[in-house]
Amino acid sequence: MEKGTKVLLVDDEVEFVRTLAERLEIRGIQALVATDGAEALQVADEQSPPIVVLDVMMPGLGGIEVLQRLKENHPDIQVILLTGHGSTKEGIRGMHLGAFDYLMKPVHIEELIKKMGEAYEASR
Amino acid sequence: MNQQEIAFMGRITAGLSHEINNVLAIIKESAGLMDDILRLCPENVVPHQDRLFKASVNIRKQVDRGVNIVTGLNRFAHSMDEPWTQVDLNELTARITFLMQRFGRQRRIRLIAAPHPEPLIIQTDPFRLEMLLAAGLDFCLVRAGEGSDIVAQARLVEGRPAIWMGSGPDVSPTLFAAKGPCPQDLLPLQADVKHLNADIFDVGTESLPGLLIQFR
Repeated sequence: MEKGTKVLLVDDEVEFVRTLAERLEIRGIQALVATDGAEALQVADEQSPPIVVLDVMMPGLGGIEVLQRLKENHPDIQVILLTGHGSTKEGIRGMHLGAFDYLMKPVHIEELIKKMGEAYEASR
Repeated sequence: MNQQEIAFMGRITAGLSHEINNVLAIIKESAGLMDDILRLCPENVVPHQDRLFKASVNIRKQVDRGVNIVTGLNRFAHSMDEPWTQVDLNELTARITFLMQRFGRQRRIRLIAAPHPEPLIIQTDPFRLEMLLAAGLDFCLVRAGEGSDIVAQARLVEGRPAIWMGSGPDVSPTLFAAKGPCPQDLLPLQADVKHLNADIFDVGTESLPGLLIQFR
């Protein structure tokens, strides 16, 4: 994955997503942040990030619905879902709906970056 | 407790375990960020840098421990979803052993789950079976000596799915040849045993406790 690649992080847990963004920025990744589904779709329209890291369980527009809309409007965007340990079924469902893969929270940042690299290659 | 009460407990527990998992995720990222920033600083600029690194490692270790616990809690919560469903005895035995670990630790006794080589699937009430297994493990814990192991093993006995719980070096087939009646302490659970279509036997000796729960 090239330095400066844009990644959109979507999670309703503000502290989680902002801290993760900071850690990715330290590693040369341009991290955009959205804290709800509607904001995520708006940022995706405006910034066209090749990769979206998307929490499954969000209030309002949930992760699966966001995934579906992203794939409709931006089929080339690769989506990595983040699930809790009780939500692996949602992760699998997401993959059937076009997500690139899913990871369990809390993520290991190295694992996330590796997965983002694979997703980036798939998006080209 | 009726099924509605059980389902309520399960729902709330699952929800809270999800929340705790999110908290752990934030703590993990924050500790990771501390680490990242420390690594960006030239050596000897930050006082006690090595102690800060150690603290960060500790935080992440405990987060991993917390995640394990919360995962176990979440699985326990979901065992209350259905009053009667298919269950793999290997998974259920592993789950209850994990949930009861603390009680074993308090007595300095290790609880070990020993799976059957293949899945052992039965139709059952997962929550009530967990309660019964917990009572069985308690029975063994009280009687086993400090420093010993108690094994909870899913297995076939006389061709029927079963769970053996006990202390001792080996499980030999002869252990189940002399099945004693349900121990006195567990008699109040007979209604649950009947509901689960199972029988419970004392297969222990004077010095080594042992129970067999055999499903019909």
